[in-house]
Amino acid sequence: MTSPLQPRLDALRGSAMSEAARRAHGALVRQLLRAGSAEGCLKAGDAFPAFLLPEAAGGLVASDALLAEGPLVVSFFRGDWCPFCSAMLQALEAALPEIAAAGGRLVALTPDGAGYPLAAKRSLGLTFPVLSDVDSAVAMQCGVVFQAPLETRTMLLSYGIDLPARHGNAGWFIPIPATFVVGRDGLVRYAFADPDFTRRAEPAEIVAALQALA
Amino acid sequence: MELYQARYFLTLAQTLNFTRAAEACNVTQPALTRAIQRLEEEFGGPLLHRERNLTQLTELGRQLLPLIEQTYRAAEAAKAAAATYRRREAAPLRLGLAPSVGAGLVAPVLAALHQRLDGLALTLAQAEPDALVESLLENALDAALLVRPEKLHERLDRWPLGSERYVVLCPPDHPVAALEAVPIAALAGEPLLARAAEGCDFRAALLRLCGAAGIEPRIAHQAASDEQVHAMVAAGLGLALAGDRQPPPAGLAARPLAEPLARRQLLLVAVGGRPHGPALSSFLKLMRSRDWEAVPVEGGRTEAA
Repeated sequence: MTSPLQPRLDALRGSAMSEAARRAHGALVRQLLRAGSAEGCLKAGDAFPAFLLPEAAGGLVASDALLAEGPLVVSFFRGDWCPFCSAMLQALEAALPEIAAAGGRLVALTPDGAGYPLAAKRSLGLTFPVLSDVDSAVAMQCGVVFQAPLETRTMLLSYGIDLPARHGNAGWFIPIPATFVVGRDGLVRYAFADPDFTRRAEPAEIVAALQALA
Repeated sequence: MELYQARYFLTLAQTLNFTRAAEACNVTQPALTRAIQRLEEEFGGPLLHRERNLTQLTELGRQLLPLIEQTYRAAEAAKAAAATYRRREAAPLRLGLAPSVGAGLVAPVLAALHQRLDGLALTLAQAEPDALVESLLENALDAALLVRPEKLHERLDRWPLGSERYVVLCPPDHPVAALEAVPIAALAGEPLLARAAEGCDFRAALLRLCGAAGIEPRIAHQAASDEQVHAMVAAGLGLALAGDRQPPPAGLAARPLAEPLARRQLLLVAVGGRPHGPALSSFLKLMRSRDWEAVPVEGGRTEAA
């Protein structure tokens, strides 16, 4: 059984965040809570938007084709510049056998382009498709996109992380790192969307949601 | 930010009138106002000034408008692209390339498009950069690939496709072929070959690089196409420039120029604010998601850095 992810993320919050990162984290969460952003995300029962996106290695992946084979786990992440995203992706990789055993497939979506998804796949050892959600088109349709607040932008730039260069647009739009389980009928069956990016869906819950569809 | 909030904001930015915007969006005015308020909370400030009869965008609203518009259009285009894929409808794409940008550059992307889009109907065109831009603006082309110019028309969206090193093409038994990297000085006194067109990037680069090195370039022969230039190089008439992203023509050697600045930036361009058809939408995404700084190796093959 996969080990729980949240304790690892809690530890990261303690060890991997500089003062600036902590302040930016606080400002970001407050902004999202104020704006009620998580309430507008896709919920169970909603139709998940059909998508056609580039995969890290260069092909075009169609959600229709994936859903024809079975239910789909769609995980939004910001980029491998985020230690919480990296930890989540590695936990999902570790949970792949159980996801597959439950009949599901997994894709991860990021606003990054310009070769960053491929670099992330390689450095994190991921075997599932990592898709480039160019201009956050799918994230927008899922209601999970927002603009990184000034504190976050400043902090990232101070670390040499240039989101506009990675995204190919000047928006600094990033996703709430939500995870959805989509049934073969294209409807959302499980949705996790926490404005706090240090909190992620537990792989065990994702697997359970898939098993409930069988 | 949700799709409907973006749509209301964009409509309001256009009408600058709450009543008309609400009508255009088919919602009540209070609903529109609430949506704008949610956006203002999310972005941390007012997006519009309301002064008596006059509604105007704030500075924040003006800054956010193009950004929100881009993501909104991307979402709409994505919906259309997914629908076209699902219904296996026709997906035309008209792509223009500058003469010095070989179609081989986009071949892997075209392959990926062809694999997914049953209805893909591709038209490739080749024209000088100015003509490409004109065609784009007149909607005779959907996208173009060209060398980054000094100044690009402001209506064009542009995405960098990395840089390409200039290489010198020569017959394999030419002295230059024995060099690992060719200093510009080695071109002094050599007969040079180029396309006749002034807008040709390889011609312009020859003149520029030689000029910067204090060498008088001797363009001894000219041709109408790169293929003709290559034939003249093979015939021993002189040396020519090419880019390192393309494999050298059969029978010729290609050696990179030694100068670190002997590189050119390639750009992908499309007209801003115009809705993207399904094939264009997928083409742009594929192009923008690739790593264009892949390191070229001997023989023009590349592997990702």
